[in-house]
Amino acid sequence: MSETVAAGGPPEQEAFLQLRDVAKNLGGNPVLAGVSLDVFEGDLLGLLGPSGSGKTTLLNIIGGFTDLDAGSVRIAGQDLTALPPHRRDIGITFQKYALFPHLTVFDNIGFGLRQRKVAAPELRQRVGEMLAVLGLTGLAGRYPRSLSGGEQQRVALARALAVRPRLMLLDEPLANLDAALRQRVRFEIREILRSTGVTSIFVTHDQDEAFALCDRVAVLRGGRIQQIGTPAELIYQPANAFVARFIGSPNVFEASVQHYDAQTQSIRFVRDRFTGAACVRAPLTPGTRVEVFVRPDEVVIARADDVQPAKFRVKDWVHLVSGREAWIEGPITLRARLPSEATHLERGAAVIPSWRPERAHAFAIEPAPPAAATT
Amino acid sequence: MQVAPAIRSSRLSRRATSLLLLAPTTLLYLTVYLGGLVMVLVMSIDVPPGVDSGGATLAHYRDVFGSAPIGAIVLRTLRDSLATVAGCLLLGVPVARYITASASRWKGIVLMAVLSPLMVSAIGRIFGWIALFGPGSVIADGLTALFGGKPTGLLYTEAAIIIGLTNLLLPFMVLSVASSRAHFEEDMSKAALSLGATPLSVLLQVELPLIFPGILSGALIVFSLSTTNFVTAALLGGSGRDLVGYEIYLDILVYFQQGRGAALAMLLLVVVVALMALAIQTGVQRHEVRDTAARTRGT
Amino acid sequence: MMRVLVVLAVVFATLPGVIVVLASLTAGQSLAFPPQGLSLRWYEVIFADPDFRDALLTSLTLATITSLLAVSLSALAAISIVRYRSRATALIEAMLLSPLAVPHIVIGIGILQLYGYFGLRADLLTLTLGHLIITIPFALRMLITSLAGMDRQIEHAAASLGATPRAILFQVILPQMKMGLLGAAISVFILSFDDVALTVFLVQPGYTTVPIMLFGMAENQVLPSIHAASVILLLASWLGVILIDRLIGFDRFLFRDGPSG
Repeated sequence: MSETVAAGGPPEQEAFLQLRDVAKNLGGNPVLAGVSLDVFEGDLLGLLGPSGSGKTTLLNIIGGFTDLDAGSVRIAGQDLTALPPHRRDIGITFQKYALFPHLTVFDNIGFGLRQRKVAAPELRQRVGEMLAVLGLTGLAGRYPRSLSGGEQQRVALARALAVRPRLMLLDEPLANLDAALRQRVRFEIREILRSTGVTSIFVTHDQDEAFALCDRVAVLRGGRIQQIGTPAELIYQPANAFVARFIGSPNVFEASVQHYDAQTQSIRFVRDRFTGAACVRAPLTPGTRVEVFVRPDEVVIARADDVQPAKFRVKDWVHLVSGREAWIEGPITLRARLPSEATHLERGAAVIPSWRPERAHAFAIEPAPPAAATT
Repeated sequence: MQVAPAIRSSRLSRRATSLLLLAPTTLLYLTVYLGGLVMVLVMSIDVPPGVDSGGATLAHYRDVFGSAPIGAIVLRTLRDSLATVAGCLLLGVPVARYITASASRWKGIVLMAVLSPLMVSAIGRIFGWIALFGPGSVIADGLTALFGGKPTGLLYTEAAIIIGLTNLLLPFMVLSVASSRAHFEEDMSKAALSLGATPLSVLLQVELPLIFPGILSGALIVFSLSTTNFVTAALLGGSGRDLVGYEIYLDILVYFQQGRGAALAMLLLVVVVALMALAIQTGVQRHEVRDTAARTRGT
Repeated sequence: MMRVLVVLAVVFATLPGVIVVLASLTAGQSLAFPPQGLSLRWYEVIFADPDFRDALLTSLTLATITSLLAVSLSALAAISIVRYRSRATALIEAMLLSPLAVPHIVIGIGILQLYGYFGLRADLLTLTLGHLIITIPFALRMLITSLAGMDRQIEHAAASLGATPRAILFQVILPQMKMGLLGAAISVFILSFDDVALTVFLVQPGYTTVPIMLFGMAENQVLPSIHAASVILLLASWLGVILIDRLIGFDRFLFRDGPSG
């Protein structure tokens, strides 16, 4: 059942958090179907997946709130399976923060230290440090309800970090912030986690967030890890069609294999007399139906001439902050990103798209997998 | 500031419409309800027939406060009402936690079983207790077998009253605590656990402070409803074990001591309205009040 | 421990209802539980009693009329209170809701004295007026909650499409309140059908309701027909609870639109 996915960390080092074949069924549905995952000390790992992919269940299993059906969870070599949540020493921030509404900011942050019977002077000093690090000093006496979303977020982070946990789990920490704040808080969180050096797992459904915050990202779907890698690996070497689609390739079309080149591990495909090249992960026989993914910034547009008859026309284009994006229509519809000074492509112009074969990815179309279980 | 005539007339017509919609109900309440309450007040200070002194008297109130039997009744009422509150807390708090926390498929059944009595005939259920407690019932036979004595069972004892009142008022406690538990999120208990709090300290340090206003307002509601109840006391307690409510009923309809009954009713009214006002006040979460204060001060 | 108490609470809450149903099916003469043999004879006895039939008819008529009137009056009042909020409506709202905190026994004594003063006898009108006083607060509270939770922009949209205030009331507001109105009507019916605390002060010999008849019978009559009569009251309220559960959902009824402490 399990597929151990190669982790990108240094191989000689023993992983700090090790998940092995973790499986969980809820109401007869497999929510996690054998997840194995290594997280190294000081790592900031993103756990990325659409809703229902099992990421919240995985978080609950690591936190100790959900029992696992099979597999194991180890931190620094210690098996956590039988350890109750309050003895795991794992800091968690919750999507809706779950601040204690009856306690002040100070007492929220000091809650974990009180449980550890930290003496009053030290407690005051450590809470004071957390307040200072997170810029909350003036708010110590306030109650959570009177704080803004960003402030609540920082209190939640301070509360979890105050006990100096050996692992941090952050469940969609940006989901309840408005767009402008999200950008800023994203980097604040990254800075704070970096400076404390705590090993962290950051759960999100938004790949921009995952890429901006994390060194490595694990993509989860239907209770299975699809791929683990750096953002660049996920973008340029997607392991399967799901990852290619999820990581944000708006250009997707079906085609059939014309020719497979074993040396370059690429294919030529054809779609309504339009042919192109794409790299593949496994040999494909001619005639195989494939889905081809190519990102708009990889598409190059040339004006058609007499030698190469036009198959595409520019339908429309829009200005973006980063340049221009053209919609071209032909046997397929494609989006292509152009430099903003490229003014020669007026609407209706006859064009020919192309891209470097290694920048396009083709995957054989398989029968649809069973519907992903929802959590 | 000038207001355009058209706007002013539309305001007037809105106001007229709103009062027109309220008029029939308001009229009914002013006459039958408030008129009735004034009548009770008048009764309580009315001069007893045959006594020739001024227009009003406090004699009935003196009568209430000076009467030893009434004192005993008040004490018994306090005792039984407090016992009822205790019973409702013991059963109601776990039920409120269960129906607000559990994802179990029994949740709907528990909610229905415990809260539907709110709407299910109170007097109909009292006869269930009579059948169970009365002479010749399993409980009566069991008690006789255990302790000997006459096979009268639990019927016409204070225990029967307390059981009947707890059964009647349990839903109020559950509703009150369950409503206040809406302020508690399951993630808070996860957060506390992840910070090293034991399950017991989660209960005491996080959950209890949050549901305490609900517990307090539930207790006040149950207490005041049990002091005013007379049907349960009449049917399960019988004469000699009457509570304040039943005593008022007897004064008015059986003993024809209208003045004393009305005076007692007025006193009960004042106490209960005060307790109910307190219950509404405490139902509001404390920290919310403090919060608003903090925000207005701009701290 | 908590689980044990929850189970205990469920048993405790449902026990008397179950007992009275079983006891009413006895073939013997004793009120006591457990029943001696099973029969429906006490239902025959109670239905053969003309006084009971009269009381049942009175109870049903009273509860139906009270329910219709209380819900209509409360709907008008709720719309006025929520949509035209002012100091006057706030004051009236407080008065209309106050019977929730005032002991019904005190209200009962007051109305008894008032009716006596004006020489009014027990009849459908006088009982209905009394029942309206204690049921309107429940209906009003439910309807205010359901109205306050309504999106006003829908009404603004209707107005922008040319709907008059009257059309908005009948075609936009009231249809949205349908479930709230239905829930209120059922609860008022049950409250009125079961009431003892107030009604006991308003009835007279020859004009009484089923609960009051039971209250009186408890002292003199010791035949299981009293259980059969109780079961009829219980069945009516169980039917109401089931209706509410099917139509609105009982938990939703209690915690969003209903009497929540």
